[in-house]
Amino acid sequence: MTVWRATWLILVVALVVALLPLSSSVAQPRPTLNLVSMSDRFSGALTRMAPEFERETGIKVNVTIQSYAELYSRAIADFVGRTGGADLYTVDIVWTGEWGENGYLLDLTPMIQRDRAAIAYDDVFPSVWKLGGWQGKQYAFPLAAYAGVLAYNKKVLTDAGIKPPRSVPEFAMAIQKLTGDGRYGIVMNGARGAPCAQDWMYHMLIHGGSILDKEGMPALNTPVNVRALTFFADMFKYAPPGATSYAWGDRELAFRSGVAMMQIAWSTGVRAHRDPSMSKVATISDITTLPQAAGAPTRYPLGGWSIGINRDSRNKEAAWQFIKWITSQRMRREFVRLGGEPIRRSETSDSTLLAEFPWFAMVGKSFENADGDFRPRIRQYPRIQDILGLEVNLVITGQKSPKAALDDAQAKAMPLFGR
Amino acid sequence: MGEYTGATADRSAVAAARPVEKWLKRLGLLPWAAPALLFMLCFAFYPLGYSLYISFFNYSLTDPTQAQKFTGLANYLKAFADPAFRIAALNSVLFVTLAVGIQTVLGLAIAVLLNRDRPGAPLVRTLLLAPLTLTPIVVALVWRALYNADYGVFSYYLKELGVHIGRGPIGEPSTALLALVIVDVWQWTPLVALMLLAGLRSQSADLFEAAQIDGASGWQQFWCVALPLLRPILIVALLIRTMDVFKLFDSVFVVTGGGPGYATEVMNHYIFKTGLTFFDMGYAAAMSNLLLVLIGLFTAAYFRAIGQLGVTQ
Repeated sequence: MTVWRATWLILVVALVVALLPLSSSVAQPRPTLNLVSMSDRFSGALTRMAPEFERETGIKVNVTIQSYAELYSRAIADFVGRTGGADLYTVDIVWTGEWGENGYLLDLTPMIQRDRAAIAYDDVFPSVWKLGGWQGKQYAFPLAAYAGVLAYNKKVLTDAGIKPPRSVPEFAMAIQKLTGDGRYGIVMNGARGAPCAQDWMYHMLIHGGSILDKEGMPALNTPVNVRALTFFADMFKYAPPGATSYAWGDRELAFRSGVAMMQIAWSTGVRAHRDPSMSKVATISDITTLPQAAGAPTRYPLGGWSIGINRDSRNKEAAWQFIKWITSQRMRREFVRLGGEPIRRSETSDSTLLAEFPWFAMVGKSFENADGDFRPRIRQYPRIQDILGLEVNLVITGQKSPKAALDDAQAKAMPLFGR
Repeated sequence: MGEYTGATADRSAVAAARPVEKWLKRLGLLPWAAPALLFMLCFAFYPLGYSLYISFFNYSLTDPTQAQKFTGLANYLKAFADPAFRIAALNSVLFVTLAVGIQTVLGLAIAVLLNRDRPGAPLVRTLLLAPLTLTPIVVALVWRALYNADYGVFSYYLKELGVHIGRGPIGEPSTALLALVIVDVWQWTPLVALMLLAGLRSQSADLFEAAQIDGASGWQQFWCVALPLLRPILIVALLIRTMDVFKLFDSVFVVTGGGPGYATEVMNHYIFKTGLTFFDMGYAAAMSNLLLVLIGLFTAAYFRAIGQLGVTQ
C-alpha cells in the first residue's frame, strides 16, 4: 500500500513538473512587437521575414512602413509622449546623436557585450557600428549600411576612352567630355532642402571639407567648402536642365534612363541600376569608389539604417531577441537577398552573395574607409541640413555666390551652438 | 368613464412632464447642442487655447531637458524679424490672390457656360468632379512629373512651341510660384464652378424673363440680375477657397519643397518645418496664430470688398 502511494505521488509530481512549462506559457503569452520602419528597400525584407521569426519564436512582429518624414515625426511624438507606441524603430544614421543624447532609445551596449560572440561582433565592419553608435554607446544595431559610390555608364565611358575618374580634375574632365548629343556627364540633386544639401556634402567630402571643425563647431564657409560648392554649382552646367529641382527619384531616373552618364549615389540604388525592368543601363552600368581631391584624406560616405529599441517598450527582451535574429549571420543572407544591404564582412566576401551582387566587393572596400560623420550626427544636424538646403539651392539657381551663401549659412548655424 | 379616466391620466402625465419641459425650455437648445459643443471644446477650442499658451514659451520638443521657458511675445517678435517668415507670408498672400482670383473668374465662366443646357453638359459636369476626387498629394506628384524639365509632358509641349523653359517651370525662381498656382487652379476651379452653377440654377427664370421684356441684353441680364443674386454663394466660395489656399501645403511639400530658394516658401510649409521637422513648438505655435490672424483679416477684407461691390450694383 505504501509502495502504491509512493508510486502515485511520484507520478503526480512528474505530471505537474511536465505540465509546468505549459502552464507558464499559458500564463505568459508571447508578446507582439511593433516595429516602425522607413520605407526603404530593406523594409520589404523586414515585412517578409517577420512571419519566419514568429514561426521560430512565437513572437509576432507587426511591421509598419512609413516615409522618412512621417517616421521621424511619429517616433519623436512617441518618445516625447512616452507612449511606447512602438517597440522597435529603424534609425537613420543622422538621427543617432539626437536620439542617443535624448535617451529615446535603449542603450544596447550591455546586451551587445553580453551576446558578443553570438552576434559575431567582429564580423560587422568597424565603421558600420556608427549606424546607431553615439559617444561610446550603441543605441541601435546596424541593419543596412550604404556606401556613397560613383555610379557610371561603363559602355559610354569606355567608348569615349575615359577611365572611371580617380581624382577631382579627372572627374571634372570626364563630366565635360561626356556631355553633348542629348546626354549629360552627370546628374545631381538640386531640389531645395535635404536633396541638394546631401548631394553637396558628397562633393564637400571628396574635396576634403567638413561641416564641423575639430572643436565640433560649424565650419561651413572654409575655403575648401567654398571650393567644393563652386565645383558643385559648376557641374550643374553638365547636368540635365531640370536637375536644379531634382530629388533622389529624379536623379536615379536620369541615370537609369541613360540620359546622365554618372552620379554619386548610395549603393542601395545599384539593384535598380541592374534591373532591366527599371533600367536602360542594366548591363552597362557599374560603380566605383569616389574620386578624391589631391591631398584630401581618403574618406568615403557612409549612410544607412540601424534598428533600436524604444526606451518605453514593454517588450525589451523580445525586441532584443528580434534584433539579434534579424542581424544574425544565419538570417542576413536572406535579409540581403530580399532587399537589405550588407553590414558584415562575411556578406561582402560571401561567394554566393557576390555571384548575385558582385558590386558588394566594392561596397566592402568603401566600408573599410567609410566616414559616417561627413553628415554630422549631432542634435543640430537637421537644422544645418535645412540651412544648407536653402543656401546651396540659391547658389545653383544663380541667386547667390558660393562664398556669400556659405557665409550666410555659417551665420545661421552658429546660434544653434549657442554662439 | 373610460374616456374620463384617460383624460385624467393624460393630464397627470402632462403635469409630470411639466418640470422637465420647463427645465428644457430654460436650457433652450443647449441639451441638443451639448455634444457638438463638447466636441468643439475638446477638438477645436482646447488646441487653439493650448497653441496660444505655448506660443509664449521657448519650447522645443526635442530638447533633452524638456524645459519650457516663458518668453512672452518673443516668438511673435521673432516671426516679424525672421526674413524667411516674412517672405513666406508675402508668398502666401500672393498665392491666395492669384489662385483664388483665377479660380473665381474661371469658375464663374464655367458655371455660366454649363448653365445653358447644351449637348454634353451633363458629361462635362461629371468630368468636373474628377480633379476634386483626387487627393492633393497625388495631384502634386502627377504635376511634379508633368513639370519635369527633362521628361515632363508640360515641358515637352512648351519646348515644341519654341518656349525656352530653362530649368523648367518649377526650377526657375520666376515661374515656380505660378506653376503651383496652376496646380491649385486645376484642382479647385471645378469646386467653385459647381458651387456657382448650383447658385445660378436656383435663380428664378421669371426674373430673367422680366429683364428680357424690359429690353436687357444677355450681358445686362448676367451683370445686373444673375451676378447680384449669386453674391451670397460667391462669398461662400471665395471664403472657402481663401481659407483653404492659405493652408496650402501638399503641392509645396511635394513639388518644390519651398524652392528654388525662397520662391515657393509659404506660411503653412514653413510652420510645418519649424514644428514637425525641428519641433520648435513655441515658435511654430506663434506663427500658426499669426496665420490664423492673417486668414481672419483677409476674409474680413474680402467680405467688405464684396459687400461694397454688392451695394454699388
